[in-house]
Amino acid sequence: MSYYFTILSPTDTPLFNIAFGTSKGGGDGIARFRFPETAQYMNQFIIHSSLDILEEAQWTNGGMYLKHIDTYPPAAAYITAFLTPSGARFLLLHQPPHLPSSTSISSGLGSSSLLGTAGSTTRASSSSIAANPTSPQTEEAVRQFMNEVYESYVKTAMSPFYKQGMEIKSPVFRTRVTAAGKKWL
Amino acid sequence: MSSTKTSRIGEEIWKTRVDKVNAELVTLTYGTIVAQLCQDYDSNYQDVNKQLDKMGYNIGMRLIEEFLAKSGVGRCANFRETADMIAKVGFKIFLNVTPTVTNWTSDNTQFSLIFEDNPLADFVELPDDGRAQDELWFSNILCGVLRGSLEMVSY
Amino acid sequence: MTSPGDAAPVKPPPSFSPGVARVASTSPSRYPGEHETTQSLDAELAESQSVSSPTPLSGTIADLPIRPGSSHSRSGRSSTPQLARSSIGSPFDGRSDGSEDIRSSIIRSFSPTIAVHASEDTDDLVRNKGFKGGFWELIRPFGETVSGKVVIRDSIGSSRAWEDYGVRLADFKGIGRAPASRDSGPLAQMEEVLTKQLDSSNGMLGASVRTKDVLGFPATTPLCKSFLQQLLCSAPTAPHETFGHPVANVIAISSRNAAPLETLRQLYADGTTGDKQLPDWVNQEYLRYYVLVHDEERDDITESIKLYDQMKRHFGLHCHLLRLRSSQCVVTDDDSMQLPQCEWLSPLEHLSGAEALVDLGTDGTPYLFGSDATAIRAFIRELVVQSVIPFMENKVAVWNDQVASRRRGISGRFMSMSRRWAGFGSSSRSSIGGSSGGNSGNYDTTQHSYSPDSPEAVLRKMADYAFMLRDWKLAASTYDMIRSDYGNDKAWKYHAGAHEMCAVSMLLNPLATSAKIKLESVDQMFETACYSYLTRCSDATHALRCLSLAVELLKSRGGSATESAAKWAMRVMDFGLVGSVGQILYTERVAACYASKTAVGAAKWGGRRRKAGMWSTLAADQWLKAGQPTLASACLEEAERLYADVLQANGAFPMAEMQSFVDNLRHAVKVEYLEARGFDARDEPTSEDPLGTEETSEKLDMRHHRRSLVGPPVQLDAGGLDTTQGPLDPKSPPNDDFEQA
Repeated sequence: MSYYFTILSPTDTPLFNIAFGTSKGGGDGIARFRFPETAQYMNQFIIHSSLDILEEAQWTNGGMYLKHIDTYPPAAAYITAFLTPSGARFLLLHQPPHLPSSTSISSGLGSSSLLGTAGSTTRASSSSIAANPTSPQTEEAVRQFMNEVYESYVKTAMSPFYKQGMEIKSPVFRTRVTAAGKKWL
Repeated sequence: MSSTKTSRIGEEIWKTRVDKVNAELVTLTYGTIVAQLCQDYDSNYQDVNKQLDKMGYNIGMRLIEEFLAKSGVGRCANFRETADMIAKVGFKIFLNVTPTVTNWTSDNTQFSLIFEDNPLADFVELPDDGRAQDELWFSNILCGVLRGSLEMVSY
Repeated sequence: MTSPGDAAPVKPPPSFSPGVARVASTSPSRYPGEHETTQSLDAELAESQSVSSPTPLSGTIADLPIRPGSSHSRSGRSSTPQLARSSIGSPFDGRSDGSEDIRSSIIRSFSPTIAVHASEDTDDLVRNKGFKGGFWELIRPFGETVSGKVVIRDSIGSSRAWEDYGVRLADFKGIGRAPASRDSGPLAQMEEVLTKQLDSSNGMLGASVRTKDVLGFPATTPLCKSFLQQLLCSAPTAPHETFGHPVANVIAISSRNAAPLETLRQLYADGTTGDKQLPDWVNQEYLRYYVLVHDEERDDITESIKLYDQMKRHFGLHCHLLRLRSSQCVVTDDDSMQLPQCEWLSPLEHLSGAEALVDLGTDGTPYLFGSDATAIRAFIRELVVQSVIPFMENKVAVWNDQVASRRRGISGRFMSMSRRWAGFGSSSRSSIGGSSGGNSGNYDTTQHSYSPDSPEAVLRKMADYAFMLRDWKLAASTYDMIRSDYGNDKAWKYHAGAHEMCAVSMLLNPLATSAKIKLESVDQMFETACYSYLTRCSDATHALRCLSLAVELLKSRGGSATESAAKWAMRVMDFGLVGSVGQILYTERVAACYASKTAVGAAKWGGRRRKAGMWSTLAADQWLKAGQPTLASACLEEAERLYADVLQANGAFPMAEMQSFVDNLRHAVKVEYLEARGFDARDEPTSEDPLGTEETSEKLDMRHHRRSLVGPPVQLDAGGLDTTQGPLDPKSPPNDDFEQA
């Protein structure tokens, strides 16, 4: 599983970006997206496009953690969102590893019944979150991750030298997010 | 006056005679002041430090009266006692922290106050422009306060 | 454009506008303010094939700086008499988004098939007129639009008039036989046609005929439409659906025939015996219609009338006397007109047609006399209105009573009705009962078909008839009734087809409000249909048709259905059902689906602008890679328009990498576009393509440097402590090496 985590301000300005891979089930924590090296902008496109859904979901869902809100089927990219009360958006794009054996049919939608069998055979790991991006375990793990990041985010935002809406450059914050990623995802 | 007694006095006053205020409020207020100063002085941190010291000095000159009135302590016998009083009563009642007094010079005229916990600097991350880490003395106001108050009691 | 007020109430014949290949309008006329969408499908189609035709253009496009070659063709279009037709009785009144065209296309694609079986002498007569394909070729284009309104009664007796009714005239000899095979299937052929169309337009025309909708929706591109139409008529005649089976057989002889009645008998017999006989899974209960073609120039009309009376005595009412001139018509003749172009050409016909047209300027379409055209039109109208429609209505009613009600009765819903009809149809249909559970035994597993008189096949036929008569309610309920039966019999194609058509007819039923239809169940049906087609039957053509119908119909439904539509379009790409050009078309479709979902209320939520913008951008990228800078630039403009709502006022993307990608794309499109224009490289398109791709990749490699240029402005206005953050150096920030890892 590869992750791309973004914090967006209420005006869609990105405050923070990080890409990392899973550390569970023997993962080395390095992101391996399905896009070729030159197409890493796709992550941003997908995240950006999911704001459409997010804007809708934030009115229908009372909680801060909005769970899995959007999917980009061609790349099997799943978006999970977390909304802070002040309107900052935490968006996590997760993408199961690309299996060389998977046929074109199996890389389809999460909701697809055709996918059912193919999706769950990914990586015989002890951790189920690497395998299925929409399972309750994954949702829970992401929730933990989001909460931890939120805590760090609040502290970072309290720094008198951090101005609201400004990119978060704090290395401390980055370290904390990385640690949270290692711990939960 | 023994060191433990000084601590007790500090505890006593902190518990009974001090009006408490929310720590985050103080932290954010102070942080904002420093950040604003940095902006006003165009990130000339020497000037900011100076300004913080000046502000602290003005506070200290007033605060000493309050301190003496609240604590009711008398004149200190020596500089070591003064240091103890500052750390265990002064900082205790105003900031609820007790810095460690250390690094005495051999002639007993200089010492250091080491803060394990600095409520003013909670959440603070200095700007990473490569200079602030070295040049900005974020809590320099404390030095100013000490300077001001001690000057008032003729040090 | 003509407003309905001052236009002629009846449709003028197409010959009035010699500049346009065909103007038989199929879309209901709209008001001048909405003129962008009024172009008829076929006119666009015709023009996308022929460079010399006037190009339909909208005012919005003419304003765009990068879109050249537009001004000269505008006048040609606007002088075209737009056919004002009253749209009273149309269920789509007041709904004029771009999808109406598509919806109407889909409805018309499922029109009754009428076989045409002409005697040798008739074909000879018509060949003399310059129509190499004989009688069928002559009348075929006229079948696609029946002139005037066609009134159809539905199963509960209420009538509705249709403006755009048509039938598909098919060559009798071709029905049920595999077309003269090229080595590729219809899907590969479609891809080939697309490539050809792109090549012939040389990248210029494709985008300039792109229209935009009044409401700001991206309209369906002509390419897309042409693709869909080919798809809808490329599915071969198959046992599992009866749309390709003849509803009627037009048997034609000419006045030259020496032994007319004998010939008619022979032609009749061809339908049931001999080598021309239809496959045995085709129901033989179709209407026979007899036509006597009278040669106005060589034969005596009194003789012909005598013969015609004789025919009427023999065969009853289903006869027609068609009076044609036998000499060849040339352009310079008075009253000459070009044969209208067929709208519904299979990909194979597109390919062979394109090969035949060596010179685009004077295409091979023959001319005919206006009087002939009028006669044929009248003949088609009489055939459809007086014979075919009543025949089908009658069949539906009979089958509904005899077969469907019994079937319903067995499931216990209409017990009383089934008892009433118990003795009626059972003598001829012994196997009607017992079909509800288990394997009924009617399914022939070796032939993969039901025999045409088994209740399963009859019900399917009845549903198809109802569908073609546009009684979608009855059709949906009938498909719904039988779809599980096919599953029990493991008749997977039937199973897939019934699910597909059930969902389609539910979506087409204009009376069912979107709230009434459970979108989940429709989705589920498409899912099942697609699974049966693809996995159980490996039938990619039908699977693609099914998914495309799902995309277009769900899209036209609007609201939350557009999400499903986009999902199915992505599924098409995912399954790899389409080739590389098709992939781009479907990328555009996804964008169109998302774009048609508009935001509601003051909060502006519910829109899918960002998604639409993203897919448009991706389509632009792919068009560019395919060497079509014009189409790419159109997509890019579309994307900009879509993004306009969600981006800041300066149009900058908040995310740096997106911004640089779009900047590069914009630049590359411009460069390639100008190159293509500058060289006028019609004769050497190959040398131009590699140049373009190099340009692109070079740009992509420079991203890191560009990013540092793009980054700062975004942060500068946000950051108050500007000196604390220097310009982004690609190497220094600690966050970057992490991202690159």
